[in-house]
Amino acid sequence: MDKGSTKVKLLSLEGDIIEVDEEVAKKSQLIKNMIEDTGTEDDVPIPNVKKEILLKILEYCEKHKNDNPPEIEKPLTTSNLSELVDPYDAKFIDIENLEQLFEIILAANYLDIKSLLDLACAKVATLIKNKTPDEIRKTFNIPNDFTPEEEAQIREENKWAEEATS
Amino acid sequence: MEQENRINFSIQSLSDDILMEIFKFLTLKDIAIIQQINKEWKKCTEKPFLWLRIRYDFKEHEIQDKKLYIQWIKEKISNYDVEQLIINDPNCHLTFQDIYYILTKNFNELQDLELSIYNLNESQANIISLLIVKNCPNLRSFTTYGCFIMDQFMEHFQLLNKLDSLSIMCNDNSFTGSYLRTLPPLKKLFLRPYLIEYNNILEAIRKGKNTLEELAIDTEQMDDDQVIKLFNELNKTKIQSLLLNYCEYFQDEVFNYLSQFAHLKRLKFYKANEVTQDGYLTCFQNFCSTQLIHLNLKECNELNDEGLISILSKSSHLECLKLAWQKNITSESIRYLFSNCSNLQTCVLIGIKSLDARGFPAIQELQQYFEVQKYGELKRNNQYQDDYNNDCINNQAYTSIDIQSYFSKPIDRSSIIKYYQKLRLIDCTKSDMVPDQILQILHLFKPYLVARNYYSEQM
Repeated sequence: MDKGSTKVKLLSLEGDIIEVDEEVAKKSQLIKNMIEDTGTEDDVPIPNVKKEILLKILEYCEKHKNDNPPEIEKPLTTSNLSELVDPYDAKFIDIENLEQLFEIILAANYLDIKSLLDLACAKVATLIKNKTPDEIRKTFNIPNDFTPEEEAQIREENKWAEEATS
Repeated sequence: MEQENRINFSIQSLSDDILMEIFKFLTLKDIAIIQQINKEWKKCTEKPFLWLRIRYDFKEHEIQDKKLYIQWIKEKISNYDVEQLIINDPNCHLTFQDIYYILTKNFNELQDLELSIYNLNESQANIISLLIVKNCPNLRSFTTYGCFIMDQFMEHFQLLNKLDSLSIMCNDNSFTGSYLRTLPPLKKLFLRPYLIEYNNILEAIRKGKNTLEELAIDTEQMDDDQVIKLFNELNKTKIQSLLLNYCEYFQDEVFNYLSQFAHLKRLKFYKANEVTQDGYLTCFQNFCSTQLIHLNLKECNELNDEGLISILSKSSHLECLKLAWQKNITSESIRYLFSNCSNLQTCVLIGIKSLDARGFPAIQELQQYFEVQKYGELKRNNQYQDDYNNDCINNQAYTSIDIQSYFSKPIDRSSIIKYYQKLRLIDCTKSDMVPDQILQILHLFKPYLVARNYYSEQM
């Protein structure tokens, strides 16, 4: 056990070093490729990702070091993620702070962790799904910048979808 | 920086790739809604990449005003360059005029068309066929589950010189395949029509000798000589998928031909009741391909342990195995399966009456342990409680035990991970001797796993 787990040192945006097991770090295709090129001796720079986000992502990698979550069904059949994915994953991605959720998306994309990117994107999709435009604006704190005439016109064009929601 | 502007999220700031990842989870209805959010979001929904693939499907939505929906989708299709268009209309909401309207546009980019519609008469189908040939010059793949296909429909398809994939999946039509031989050489040919004529299939296969990689046909109406003749026309180093339905009349000799395909990845051989134990064994012993990923031998009744082990020993990449109703398959070969095929994801074992706990390495050893402890006491957290409440007969109080700490001493967790690492689905419907416990233990270690017991209930 002790012999098997090589450590990798990751260097976050702030310059902090985070030490993790190689097998955990390798859930990131980017890190995996870097390790394969340069070995585990050197620090692996992750200059695009804040320490806070990196730690959160490594938590996910640790949980999934031995498996690959199945693909999430597309399109979503419900906006309740816990019906579609492992309860742990649903809880993990249930992040109130949208800014953080988007940072995770960007980081998962950069680090090339497909299953996490999918999970986080599905989470964003659940915030959109089966809502009225007003509700979505509220969720994402977006002002409505259409003129009343424009709004009426767009609403008319997409009326078929709105009727079914209300 | 002002407080209220703290959320600097802007959907516009995400790259197209990431947006696509999010939009993939949404239905067309959701996209119609987000067009109304604000100008920025509306602009996002107008990005052409979003409309490269359009799946028109009434089943996805409960649309009240279907006319408006049809109007909307017609507009979208006419405004964007579509690469893949799937029209699935089982309840016949679309009229001939709608379909005509949709296809009356230059689909230069369209590569992949599925037209599963059901209410066209003969002359309407002909008009649609002409429209496709005229407007979709770069079409590579045509698929239909609809029953409107007749020979004339294919008459002009020979002009689609990029076509390399054809799937006609409905058997209830008058298609005999008389124009198949006029098509360009195909890579993929899937045919279900009942009235299709043997010679027409043969000609199409002959033409695709150097290109054909995937073939699916019903062999119900062919005799052994015809099947052998057909196999002889296939390129043994090119074919990757061979899906044969209703092989009831196949004899050992025919079956043995399969061993020659050197790069076979998917093999389906359904209902080959006449093939003997020796027939399976001989074929699998001589089997050339070591690349099998999918193996479907449902209702190949005489297959036994020796035959199955023989093919499994060459198939270390296997991801999917489907068996049903084999009398002579026992725990021995299934144990071999789990021990040797570490890529296994899907495992269907329907009506395997001689399969019991011994077929499940590492789990079987755990089973005894669970009996002592009464498996109902074992659970990781509350969300499993309901399952156990239902299943546990003596309805005693449960203690919450973390499974990892519980097993840290006696159980080598890694062995379970080793054997069942990629397993996603196991179906033991009508397999009497597989204890529910086995599937429950598996499920405890693999929360994603879909495990079905004798009654086809999900664990």
